[in-house]
Amino acid sequence: MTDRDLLLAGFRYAYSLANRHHDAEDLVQEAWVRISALHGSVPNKSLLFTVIRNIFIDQYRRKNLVIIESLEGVAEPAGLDVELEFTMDAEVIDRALNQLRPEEREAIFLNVVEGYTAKEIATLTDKSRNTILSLLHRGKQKLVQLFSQESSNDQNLA
Amino acid sequence: MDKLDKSIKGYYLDKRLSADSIDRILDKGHQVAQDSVSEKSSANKRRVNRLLNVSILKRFAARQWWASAVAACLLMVVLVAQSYYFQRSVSEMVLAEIAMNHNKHLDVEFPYNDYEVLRVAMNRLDFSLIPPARLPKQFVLVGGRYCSIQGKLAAQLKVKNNNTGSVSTLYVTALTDNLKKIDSERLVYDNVTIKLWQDESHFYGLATDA
Repeated sequence: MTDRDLLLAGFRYAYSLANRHHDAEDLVQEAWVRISALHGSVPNKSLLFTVIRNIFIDQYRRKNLVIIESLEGVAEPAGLDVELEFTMDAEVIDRALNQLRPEEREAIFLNVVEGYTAKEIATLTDKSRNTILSLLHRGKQKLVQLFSQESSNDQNLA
Repeated sequence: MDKLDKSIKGYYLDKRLSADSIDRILDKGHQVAQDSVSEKSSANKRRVNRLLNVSILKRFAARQWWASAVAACLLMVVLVAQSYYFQRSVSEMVLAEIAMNHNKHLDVEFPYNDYEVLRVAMNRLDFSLIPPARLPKQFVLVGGRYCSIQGKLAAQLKVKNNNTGSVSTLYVTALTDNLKKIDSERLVYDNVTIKLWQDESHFYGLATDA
């Protein structure tokens, strides 16, 4: 993987956390510079993601923006094997992802885009595997609901 | 869910940084990496220098300590030697003067066998001329004349040993700081037996032919 590919992967991961282009760019730049200063270069994706994540959490802590939502008592999604009958353009996905919590977006990104297993995500994010599975389920469920909602809104408008 | 995942994946893969942003971040990374390397190198150099300086200082301090100790010892040796030499030299000079004067066998200028009378006669003396307490009783005064010891005016008295009939020369002068350093001693110098001693205010030297 070239530095450019690594940087882009880091940027996308940062985007999954911040959900804003500018913030994601700042995050990946800061992480890249920090790692370069320490190691002389960015050795791997895992380290880059970890540093991006730490910076993101620090920034959120500073802004008191960490949203702690207990997973206890949250009903397991009814099922995700729903066939989506509507088109999802970038704008719709953007709006839907913006409704998710950063942890949910992060878990979905790592799983769907990076192809990490729940166990690997758990290791990277220092969470339990069950928590990751719940985040994935709930995040995707929310997305389905949001997409469905968007679709019905479009139909009503039509 | 395949469609959802594909949509999400496509969405994220479309997210890109501009070429300028990528170049800027990569450049910044290279720059801080180089700065960091040179800073580490400088820090290492500083650390090494600091350690070297400390080591040099320690060695210097250790050497300085040894040098100081050696210098102090040398100084002490020099002072002791100088003091000893000075003492010996003063002592020897006094002995030489006494022996030389004694060997001249000069006649007395004031032939009085009474200390009271002699003191009145030798009125230039700046000390009181009294019978020395440690002079054995068999030595009786014959007379006296002026002389000098170490540049100070002194009395050169002739005393006769009533037991042996021999005549000795008794030198008396005021006790000075230099003369105070001369220990009481009895020795032979230039064929003259000389006994040196002092009391609170006088210095005495009794010279007898050896």
